[in-house]
Amino acid sequence: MKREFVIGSESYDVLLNKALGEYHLDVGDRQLAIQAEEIGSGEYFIYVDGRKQRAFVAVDDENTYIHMEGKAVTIQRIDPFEKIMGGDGADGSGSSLLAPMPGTVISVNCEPGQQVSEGDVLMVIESMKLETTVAAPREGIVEQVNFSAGDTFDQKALLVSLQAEEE
Amino acid sequence: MRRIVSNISTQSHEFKENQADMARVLNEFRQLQQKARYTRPERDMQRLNKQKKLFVRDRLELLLDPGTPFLEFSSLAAHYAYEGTVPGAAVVTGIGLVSGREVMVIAGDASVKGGAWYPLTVKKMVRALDIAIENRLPVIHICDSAGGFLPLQSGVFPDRFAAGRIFRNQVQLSKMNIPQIAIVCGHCTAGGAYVPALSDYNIIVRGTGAIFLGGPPLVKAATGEVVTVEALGGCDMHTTTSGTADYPADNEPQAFAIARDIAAQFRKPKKQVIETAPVEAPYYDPEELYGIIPMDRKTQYDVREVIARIVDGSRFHEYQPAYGKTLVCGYAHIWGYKVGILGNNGVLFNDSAKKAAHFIQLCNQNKTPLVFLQNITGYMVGRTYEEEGITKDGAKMLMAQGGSVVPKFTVIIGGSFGAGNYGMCGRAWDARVLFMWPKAEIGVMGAEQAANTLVDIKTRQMQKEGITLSEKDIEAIRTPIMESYERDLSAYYSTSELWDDGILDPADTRNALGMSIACSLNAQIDDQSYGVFRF
Amino acid sequence: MQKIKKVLIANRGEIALRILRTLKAAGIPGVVMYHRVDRGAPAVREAEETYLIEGETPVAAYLDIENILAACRTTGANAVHPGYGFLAENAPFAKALAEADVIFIGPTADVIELMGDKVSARKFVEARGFPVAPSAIEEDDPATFVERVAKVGFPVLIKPAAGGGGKGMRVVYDGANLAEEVERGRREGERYFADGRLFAERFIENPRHIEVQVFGDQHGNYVHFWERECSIQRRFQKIIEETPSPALSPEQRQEICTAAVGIAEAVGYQGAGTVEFIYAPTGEFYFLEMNTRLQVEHPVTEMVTGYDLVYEQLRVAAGEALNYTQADITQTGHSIECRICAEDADADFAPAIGKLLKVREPVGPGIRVDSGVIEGQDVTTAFDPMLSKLIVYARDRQQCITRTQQALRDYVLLGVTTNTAYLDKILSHSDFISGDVHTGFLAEQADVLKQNLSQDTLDFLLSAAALTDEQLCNAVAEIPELYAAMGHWRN
Repeated sequence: MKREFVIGSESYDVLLNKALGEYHLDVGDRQLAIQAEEIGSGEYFIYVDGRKQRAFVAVDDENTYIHMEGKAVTIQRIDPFEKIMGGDGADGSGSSLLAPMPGTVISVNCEPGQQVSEGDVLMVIESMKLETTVAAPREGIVEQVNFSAGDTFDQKALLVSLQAEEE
Repeated sequence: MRRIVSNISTQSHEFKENQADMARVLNEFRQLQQKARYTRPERDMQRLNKQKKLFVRDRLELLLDPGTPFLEFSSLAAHYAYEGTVPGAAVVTGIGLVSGREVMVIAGDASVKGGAWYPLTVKKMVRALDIAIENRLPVIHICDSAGGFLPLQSGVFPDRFAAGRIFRNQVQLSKMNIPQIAIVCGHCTAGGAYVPALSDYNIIVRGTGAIFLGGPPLVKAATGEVVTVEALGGCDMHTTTSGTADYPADNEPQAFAIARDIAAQFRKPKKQVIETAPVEAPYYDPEELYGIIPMDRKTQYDVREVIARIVDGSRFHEYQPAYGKTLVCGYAHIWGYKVGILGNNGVLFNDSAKKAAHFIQLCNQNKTPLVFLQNITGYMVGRTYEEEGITKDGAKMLMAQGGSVVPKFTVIIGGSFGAGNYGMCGRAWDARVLFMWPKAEIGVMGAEQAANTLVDIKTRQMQKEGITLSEKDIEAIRTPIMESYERDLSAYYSTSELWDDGILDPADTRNALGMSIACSLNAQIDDQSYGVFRF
Repeated sequence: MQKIKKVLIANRGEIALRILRTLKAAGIPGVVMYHRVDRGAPAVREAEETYLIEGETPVAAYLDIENILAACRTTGANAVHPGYGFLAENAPFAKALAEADVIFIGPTADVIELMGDKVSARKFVEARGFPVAPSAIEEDDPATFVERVAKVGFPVLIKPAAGGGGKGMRVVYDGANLAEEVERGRREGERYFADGRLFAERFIENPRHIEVQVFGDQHGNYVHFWERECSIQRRFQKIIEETPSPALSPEQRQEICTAAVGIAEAVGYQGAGTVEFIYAPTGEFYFLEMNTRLQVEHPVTEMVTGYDLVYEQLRVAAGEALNYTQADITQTGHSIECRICAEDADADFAPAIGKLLKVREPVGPGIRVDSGVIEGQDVTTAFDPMLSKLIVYARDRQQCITRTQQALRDYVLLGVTTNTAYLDKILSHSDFISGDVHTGFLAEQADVLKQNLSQDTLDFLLSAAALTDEQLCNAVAEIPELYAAMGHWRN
């Protein structure tokens, strides 16, 4: 079965197989013989082609967090089939302006129904002690404004959306 | 079980010669297969692209569980038919896994004549559905067809095993509680419309999928009504208004993901329990078969060398090793499944036929599936043997084999001639699957014997008229007969006509049999029962 | 210390817990006030007495002086420890407490006021002969401010007069956008500090940040606890601090520490304070600002001097005299502090959020963890991203670096992206090892400090991720063994 594992900006397609009692992981054109032995709560010995590493692993709905070789790495898990299932082509037209990172709204400079041109400032947000402007990616009509000044938001929150473009 | 001790020297001149010859043959086979699978006129591929439709091979990869095998049937069907313009008979069939379930996939290939149904297309689809029925395999139909190929409608439509049989088989599957999913990627017109309609679940792709008894041109001609494809039988109409289709999909990948999710809802089959052992790879490398199979089909060789390269651990328990030695019988495991194997080591004599009948009954009594490795020129002929009852003993073998309740699997590894074909479970004898190796041949008799017989008749005819034929004249008669016979006997001709389920690279035999046996166990094995044996 | 009956800890996170520990050891009852988002925090768990506060936002709750006064009334606390941040350097707060007859554990309100304003602090210090960098003060003549800034010389650093913690600071390299940058700086100052007044000074290229811990009592005694080097900063915020500074010769150390005590004495400083200096590569140092509170990085000083600075604060606040002299305070060994932050160093330090699914703190000789989080806790953007501090002590700097690195590697924090690996990377950098750093070091070395995964590590990571992916393993288990063994076989 396939997974897409995302580490930072890199994405890795892997295929896991269990045959004759052994797990195999296909990474690119290489196949690894792998095994995990849980030695404590969230603590594992991971074996890859006979070599061993100790790892702490924690899992939530979206990510796997692994502490290994002295550092923690966050791996986002994507089921390619589920990705396709949910794929309705949203955001293709650049209609949704998502928060690049968590932060606070400083000011809202547009309202639903307003006609805007490309580059117009729709919102000013503050993240990491820096002000950033959220500008219209294209000409259009503001559909939704989801936050008011002073509101905080999480990463990928939908800040402003524009009405879908007519075909 | 003891390991077979191979007498083959992989360093011998003979081995290397055989190997080189097989490499040539396999190379040719792979090229033909590659061409049948992927080579299409540029125009047809562009049309698919323009319609935003995926190529059938890509559809398969989207459907099947990643990293799992696909046992394709009859990849070279229609190889010699229709001037070679309908590669694979315009349909892909095979067994694969979808969400962990074994399924039969029947995928129309719209890159060949818009997926039109030729007589051999229908034959291949019906065969796939027969396999599904026999092995209780859920079926996933990938529908994308222009409809029956009208110029050949007489070969497509009227007969018992023509197109109607597709729908008849669908109904049978449904009655047997074997689920079917149809993924409508293109048009399903006329009869083709019943494929999704008779499936338990169907998915239709918005924009490209359509289901209707008559397309817009036919509707216009018949009633004068002008209507678009979408309005007449498109995704939204069928999923919201008519209820003919169940699941709308925005695009093909989504449609296949939905199909996978549906398959995940299928009840897991209760498999027939047979004897199994932990899986073990063959001790002898299956690829050594290339150097074992003689260059000349007529050269006799020990079938145990073949068995050693197919079965688990190359282990084989031979039954009656000293009796009826021209037929090797015994037990082995293939991918862990215990099977009874019958392999030819020469012509069938009285004792070998009786040994076969006995062994087949043992397997039936113990629910041990049977594997036939055919390399047979026939039963022995001649006065002595007739006096000893060779026909009667052959009949015993047929009665036992034909009356078997266990699943049977046949691989024609060499010759398949005359009544030997019958005894060793030829096509007419309901093997669950039947494969041929590329150098195998099938017919009433060999090309040489046939040519000789025919030349003999001709010579005597001429002699009656007072004409004596020169050596040259004889050759002139003989050569075309030989050539046409050789073609008709070849595995390629057999597979073109769907007399088998495909040509196999010998090294693939183990996997092909493994999957076939695994699937066969979806159907329970009845208690044994036979007709009347002539003693 | 009879004067102090009960202390309200008007803070949260690691510092609340750190103060609570000293109180417990000293036998002084402590009250931990908290907003409900912090109800799972370790300080709240460990406190014998807690007090729930409310506010429009969690931060607002901690900043609400009325909340704290009410807490003191309700709990009977007669002293407040403000920790750092929040109201620690808020003069009206100190005043309000004094009026309510509650002891503020910190300097007097007027000292906070004087030193809290960069402009007045600077004027004060300059007037008394301590070194300051060329500068321009907007207040002096707002009309000519931009011109005067240009005269200071480029590059110039513009910052809010009322600021701190790097908020609203900007470096301008030429005069082209000066007016615009000044305007932006003013807006940020207004927003963060409700005070748009600006201050500009010459930006010293590749400076070091060296600060001195000072202490004064109510009886006219002033000492220093030596310096701390805090040059390792990202976005103007310190993330690694150490003492002693590898940059200073004994003479320079003496000079800078003496200057700091002089400044403390000049303002009549009471309690713990820090005098920050800009230290130029050429050896000069300039007064930067004075922090009238306990610093985040105070533990490194505790490690090399052996004093509990919070305990000393309590004594001073209780009116007791320092019972040691400068000569008693020796600097022994080396200490490094790493600020463990919930942020992605490889994504421009974007703050990270999530639930801490696994926490395992490092242990070993010389290792101290001042943590504000425990396993199971949610990390949000409501507060500063700092989760904890790793403080390591060793006999010398070299050993201290390697010990810190090992501790960082042993520090398991899963569920939220943290900077432990980044800190480890910094400590491995040859310039850090040789002590050759400056406040722009991290920005300058950003490429070198990016994490990279070897093929081998990646193989292990992907394997671990795959084998602990329950859904994936279940799907794999659905594949009959025979098919799995055949793999992607095609005939």
